[in-house]
Amino acid sequence: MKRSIPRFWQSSFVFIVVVGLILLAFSGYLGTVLNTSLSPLVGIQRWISSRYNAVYEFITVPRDVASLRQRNAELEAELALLRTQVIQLQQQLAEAQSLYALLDFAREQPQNQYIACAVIGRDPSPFLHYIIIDHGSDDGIRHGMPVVTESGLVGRVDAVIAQAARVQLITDPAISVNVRLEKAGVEAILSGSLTGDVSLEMIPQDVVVEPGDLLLTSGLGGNYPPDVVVGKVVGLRKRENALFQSASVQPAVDFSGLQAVLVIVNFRPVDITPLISTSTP
Amino acid sequence: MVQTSIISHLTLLHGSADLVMLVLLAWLLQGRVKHGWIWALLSGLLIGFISALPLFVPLFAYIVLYALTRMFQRRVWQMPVMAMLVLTVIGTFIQHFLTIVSLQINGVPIAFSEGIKFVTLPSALLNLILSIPVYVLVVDIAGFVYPEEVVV
Repeated sequence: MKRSIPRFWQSSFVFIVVVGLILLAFSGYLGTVLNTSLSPLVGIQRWISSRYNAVYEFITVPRDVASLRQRNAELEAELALLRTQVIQLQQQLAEAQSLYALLDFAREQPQNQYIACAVIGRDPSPFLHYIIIDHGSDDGIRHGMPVVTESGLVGRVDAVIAQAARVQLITDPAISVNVRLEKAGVEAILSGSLTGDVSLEMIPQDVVVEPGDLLLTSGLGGNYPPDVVVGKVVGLRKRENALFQSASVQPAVDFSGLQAVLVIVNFRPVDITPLISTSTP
Repeated sequence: MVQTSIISHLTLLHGSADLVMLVLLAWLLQGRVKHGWIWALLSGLLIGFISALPLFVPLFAYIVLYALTRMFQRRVWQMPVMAMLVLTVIGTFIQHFLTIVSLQINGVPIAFSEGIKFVTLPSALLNLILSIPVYVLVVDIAGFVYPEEVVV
């Protein structure tokens, strides 16, 4: 057997190569060499990986679409449920806020006793402005009792049955409320109308009335307790040849969104009809 | 209940539909319905009890509507839907006319022109819109209550 290269030289060659590589690594030249030599390998690896992923997706995607659709349907159903819950919670929150406001108002007026009632209906005739509340004579509600909210005067109880009552609003064309202009200290009469607009009548000509002036119940006539907020003046109608001036009023209560009211049960209205003489002597 | 809690809230200008009147009209126009005047009487009493209107207003209005329905059944019996539409308009005007008159007698300051413009005309329009679906529904109910006799 012929030995062409002695073993010593083989070992020396390997040693020199290893030492050379180590020196190259320490000197920083090995990275360049490795990058240059490995870049074709990385490219090949990338190509193989992309082909593999393409084949894998081709095989597995139909199953994923089905599962995704199912998951999407589940999430949509869950979303619809959550939206329903959000709406319900918003409604409950609005009711709670309304009731809290009424409760705060009742606490601020300790001289009055209130019964909180829910509004359960409106008069079927569009000519009349009445609401129906869910408490009646069984709860101590009587004819003529004033009805308020935390914002102000709503009206008065017009008719009562055992478990419900009908309330005439201050916007009804048949109602008249004796009020007082807070700033001027002058009494006037508040009237409703067919369209729900409220106006202030019988204001003396010499009284200065300005938009924004607050209206309170005067207590005259005995139908309403005094100093309940009714609304504010928004416009004035004054004619030179008229005995009185009138004003349009914005009620303090929003009657379109009325959900709950307070009936003042310790106020007894006074019927002064017998004192008003209708016959002339 | 539907009238006071839902329909009364759905207003056009200041008018609202009268569901009770529409159901009554549609019911009275069914040929198989007997003793229609009792339904008119009951409806009038019901509305008169709930509403702050004088009792005679809805009562008298619905009785008049019953009479008109009988008359229309004899003359235009082949077109009940047309009769429903015409009676809806006539019924709205009769009821509102009686309402305005009774309120004026009671001292409520309501002008006829204002009432017609802001309440009656919008109410008539709403009643017309609702009259056809109500009629269709009542026809189905009448067919369920009074099934047609099959001659064998």
